[in-house]
Amino acid sequence: MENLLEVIDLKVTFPTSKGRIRAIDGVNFKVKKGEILGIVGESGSGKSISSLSIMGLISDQGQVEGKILFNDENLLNKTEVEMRKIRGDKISMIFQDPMSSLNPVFTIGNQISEAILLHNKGVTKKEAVEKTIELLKLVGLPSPEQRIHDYPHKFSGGMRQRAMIAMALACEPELLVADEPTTALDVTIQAQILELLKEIQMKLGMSIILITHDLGVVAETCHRVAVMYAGHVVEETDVYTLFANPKHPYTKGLINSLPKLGSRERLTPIQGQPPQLYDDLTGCRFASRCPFVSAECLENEQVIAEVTKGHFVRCHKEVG
Amino acid sequence: MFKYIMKRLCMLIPVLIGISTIVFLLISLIPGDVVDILLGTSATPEAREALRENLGLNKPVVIRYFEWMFNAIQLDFGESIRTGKPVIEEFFARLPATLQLAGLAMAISLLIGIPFGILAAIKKDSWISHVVSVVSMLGVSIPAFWLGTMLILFISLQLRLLPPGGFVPFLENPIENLKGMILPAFTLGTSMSAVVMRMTRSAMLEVLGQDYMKTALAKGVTPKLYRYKHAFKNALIPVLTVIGIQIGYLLGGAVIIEEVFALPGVGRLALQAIYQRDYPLVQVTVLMFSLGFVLVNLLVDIIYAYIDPRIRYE
Ligand SMILES: Nc1ncnc2c1ncn2[C@@H]1O[C@H](COP(=O)(O)OP(=O)(O)OP(=O)(O)O)[C@@H](O)[C@H]1O
Ligand SMILES: [Mg+2]
Repeated sequence: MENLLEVIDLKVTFPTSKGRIRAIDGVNFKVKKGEILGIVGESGSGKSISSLSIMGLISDQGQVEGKILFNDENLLNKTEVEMRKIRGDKISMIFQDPMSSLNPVFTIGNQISEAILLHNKGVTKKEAVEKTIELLKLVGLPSPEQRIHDYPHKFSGGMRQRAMIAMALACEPELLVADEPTTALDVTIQAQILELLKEIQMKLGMSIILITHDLGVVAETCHRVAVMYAGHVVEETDVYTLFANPKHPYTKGLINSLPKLGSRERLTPIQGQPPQLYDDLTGCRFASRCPFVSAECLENEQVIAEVTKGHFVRCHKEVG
Repeated sequence: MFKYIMKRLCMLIPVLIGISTIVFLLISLIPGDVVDILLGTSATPEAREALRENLGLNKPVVIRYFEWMFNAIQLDFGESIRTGKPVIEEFFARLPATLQLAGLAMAISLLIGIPFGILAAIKKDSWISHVVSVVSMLGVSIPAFWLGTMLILFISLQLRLLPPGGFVPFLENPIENLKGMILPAFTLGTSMSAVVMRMTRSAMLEVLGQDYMKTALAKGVTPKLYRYKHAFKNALIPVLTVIGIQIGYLLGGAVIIEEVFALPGVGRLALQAIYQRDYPLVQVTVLMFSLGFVLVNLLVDIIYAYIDPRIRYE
């Protein structure tokens, strides 16, 4: 399968009053056509910054370096006007909190058909409305003909996230970036939304980047996974290998902290806190929390390497 | 909605009755007497008594109040003690100048306040934003009577660019009318524009940080749609509240501005009526001011519901 998206050595830094923050620092991952890539990692590891970089939506103070190849074109070389044509058309995004992600003063129909009209010259308003109804049917919203006239406050959280997904699908994107799309929803709705994402991925054949901090979600939904820690991707592999044969100590820790059905084993949380991402970091960023730490880990920055075909790990112990 | 408007209009009745009662009592509490003003202090006691009887002032306040009420319900608000003309007529003769002043001041404040407020929010850390903050600080703190006096001093008396006061009806001579209105409307409009500007800026800043603005960007909207469709319609909601409150200020300000620029408006009429203890005239001007204030705020509430779909009145 061909790569749709390839992120190469992506770095994003923010100047702050206490010095430069390296929010993400040399991130690599690939998304193949028709694949769901999961990105997991704890809060602050750089998941959202990675996805906003792909959208070209890092705020002005943020400095972005590296390459983001989308269909072999580097998105970081595009102008704002070119990016605007890609956003919502070829790459679209859904966000964590559906309660606040829809504009309260426009109808659902207006907000979805706006996306259609923006990217399709020559489509009439009427056609856009028809397409909107079709999209809302696709995401499983009941009686869409009436609901398009409703304002967001009349929708429940789950319905709003369905509407957000419909909006993101408006121009049949090649890549859908979903930043924790189910975190704000209750558990049964979460499962429905994930099921929906899987279903439309199959139907429309696009690629999805699914950001989450929940390994359970990854196991159910994704084909491949990138695990992020403190601004790095520490492990990237297919979902089976990740659970069967995790290599990086952080991934192992994450999996050990998951409850297993029928097991009475104690859960082992990862001790400690991730480091602050200022400029003066040396050595492996996980070293302070790693049970296998050695002197070498504190001295040298780790590099990501392929241990077996398609399995990348950022830990010298697993590579050497 | 219709039911809501009717309900609000019905609520006007007790409000107006309350206001008229308070005003009636207040006037009878002010020392000084219309008789002194009409006849001077040297008149004979007999002449004074005769005039009092003539004007019905010898009756107790309570009786006078109920008499006034009884007539007012039939929309007869009495005659001016000084001119003898119906007070309603006096009021409406003075209304155009005030309406024009208030309307122009409002327009100036919105035309300055909203665009600069938006600009200051969008260019958050630029010099424009700082200039806007400073100017709006000044605008709020400079008293209108001082600004008006300064403008008359420099623009009218020194530079002789615009007339220092007076009023020519618009239909008589539109050019002279506007020339005379520029300074008063500007004076009244500036401090209001400062308030509108600050509110627009902070409301826009707040809206620009909302999640749905990120959604709009992710959709690929143009900067124009981003600012004016997605952001401004939301920011307008708090701005509208401020405008509603400012209208009360506008009425109060009109009294001062009309005095400074010698405009024959209702604000000045009210002031003169108070000086001269022209009770029926005071009553009707205050009543009309209150009516205007309440009606404008009702209008603001209706516009509210129109902009913000989350607001529904029943
Ligand atoms: N504008 C900014 N200025 C300075 N630092 C920032 C800025 N935006 C993000 N960061 C930093 O970048 C790092 C990565 O943030 P990011 O939002 O990508 O985390 P995340 O993995 O999405 O976390 P979460 O699970 O909480 O959403 C964090 O340490 C954060 O403090
Ligand atoms: Mg995030």
